[in-house]
Amino acid sequence: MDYFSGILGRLIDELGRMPGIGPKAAQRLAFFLLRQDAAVVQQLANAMLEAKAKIRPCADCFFLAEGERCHICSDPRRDARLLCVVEDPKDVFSMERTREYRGLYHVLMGTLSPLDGIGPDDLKIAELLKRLQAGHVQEVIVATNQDVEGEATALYLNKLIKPLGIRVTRLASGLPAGGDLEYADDITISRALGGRRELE
Amino acid sequence: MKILNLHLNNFRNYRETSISFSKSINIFIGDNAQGKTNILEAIHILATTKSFRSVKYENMLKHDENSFRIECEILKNDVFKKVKINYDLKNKLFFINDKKINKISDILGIINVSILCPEDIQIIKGDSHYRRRFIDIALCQLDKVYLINLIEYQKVLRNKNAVLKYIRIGRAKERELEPWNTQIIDISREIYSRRRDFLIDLNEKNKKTSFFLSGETENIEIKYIDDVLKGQTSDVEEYIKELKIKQKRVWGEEIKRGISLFGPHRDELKIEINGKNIKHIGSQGQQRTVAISLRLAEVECMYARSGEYPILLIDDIFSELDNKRKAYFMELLNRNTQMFLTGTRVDEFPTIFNQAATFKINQGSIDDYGK
Repeated sequence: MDYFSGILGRLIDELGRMPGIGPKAAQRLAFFLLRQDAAVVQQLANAMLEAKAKIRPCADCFFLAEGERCHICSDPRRDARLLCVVEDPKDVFSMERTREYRGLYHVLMGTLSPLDGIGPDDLKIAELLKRLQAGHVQEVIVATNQDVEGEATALYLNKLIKPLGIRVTRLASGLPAGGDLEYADDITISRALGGRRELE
Repeated sequence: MKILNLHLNNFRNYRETSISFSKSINIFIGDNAQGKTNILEAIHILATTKSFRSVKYENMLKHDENSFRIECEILKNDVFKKVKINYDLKNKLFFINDKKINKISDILGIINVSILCPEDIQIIKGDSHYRRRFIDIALCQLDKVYLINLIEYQKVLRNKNAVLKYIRIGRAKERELEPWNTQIIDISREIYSRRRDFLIDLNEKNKKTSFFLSGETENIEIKYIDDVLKGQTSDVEEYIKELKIKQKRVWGEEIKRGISLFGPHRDELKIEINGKNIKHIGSQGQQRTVAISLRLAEVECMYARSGEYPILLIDDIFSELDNKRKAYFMELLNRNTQMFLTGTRVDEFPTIFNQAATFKINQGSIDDYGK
């Protein structure tokens, strides 16, 4: 790493801060940028600056928005009776890819994780409750991850939301679709067995 | 399953060493503190991700080094596999066939081992943590669902303790405890029923191994004294019901003291001989016999569940066994079990030395012993 100093060294350092980018990949990206026309690099820099300047959390759901509200919250065709609670803006993209869900979202910006010092006040829970008190939502779908923190968050939300008379559901856990039983790991099979349902 | 060879790099007192093993008996001869046990320890780590000497990874580094590597090749169901660990103070990374393994649960169960060593006496004499560890290590090798539940349980417990700490200093509210308690109850259901079932197996096998070892019909029983029912009944629903009652009862005290006061981390295992706690009445010799008998029962349980005997790591204790006990091991050998034994002198292994692969260990170097 010490071979690179000055301007090139700084570029590699900056690139190396990005997630998933190690020292080798940072070097490769730096050399790639140096080989490009100035206009191409300018475009990239502009795109980064513009995204940073214009994209901010949606005022309602905290998903990424280019204006005051995100494109989902401002879409009148979405079903405002359904609210899906997720940990992270990335999760909204996962749900949207299915084109199955037509309701709205609420991004918590994390999960309860006392070990990391993260409690309810560090998440967008108060904002969620305020939205629910407005009265349009009939069902909250908790789509936090299936780890102990995601589960704790779901249980905590359930306690707060149930008294409001709103239905609270949790995404099912189980076998991947089209998945061969043979390739599923033991805990997945065990939980799928626990959550089995009767055939109609 | 057999271990074909082992490669050590900066592990304990080994700089860079490779050994090829026999598929049946391997004997390491050397004076004390030359590095015999370290070889068994390396195998144990590849199998269970943990040392049997309950030490931290950083303490297993060679002096003045900051990384170690252990690597072995195994033959399992006629397929060769390479199992490797790299440790460097920051990370421990496991590899199977040079592919990085992300979940610890994918490593356990590849190599099954059982260790017999002088410290086993702690299973009898030590506090309950040693007995929980004994069944946890065996169960985790056999039952991945148990392992994952145990890992999750520990994570939930650590989070819960953090909440308790925050409540004490006024940075969290009492209701933040509830999601963790609910998960403790859910996971406890799995841990309880799996421990209970394993102990039924273990007791049954122990009756046979203990009779074989002592020739006496003493009634030895490992009792599962769970946190709430204290072993009185073994019904899961009853257990969960009591656990929920205890959760409510200790709520205030947990907050006051800042620690978790209910759940399977408080389970006890009591070993009784003719109805009395062996910790208090057994002689030294008797306690040793029971420790060995329990280990052999564990080996038989592993065989019953996986259809294959685990690899036996026998540290230092072979010389203490009388002929009858040695015969048990010979019987296991006849059933195609791979063994690794350590000792200080050749004459500790009178009958088996000639058919074994033998190694001389001297200050971290390994040579063929020759015959």
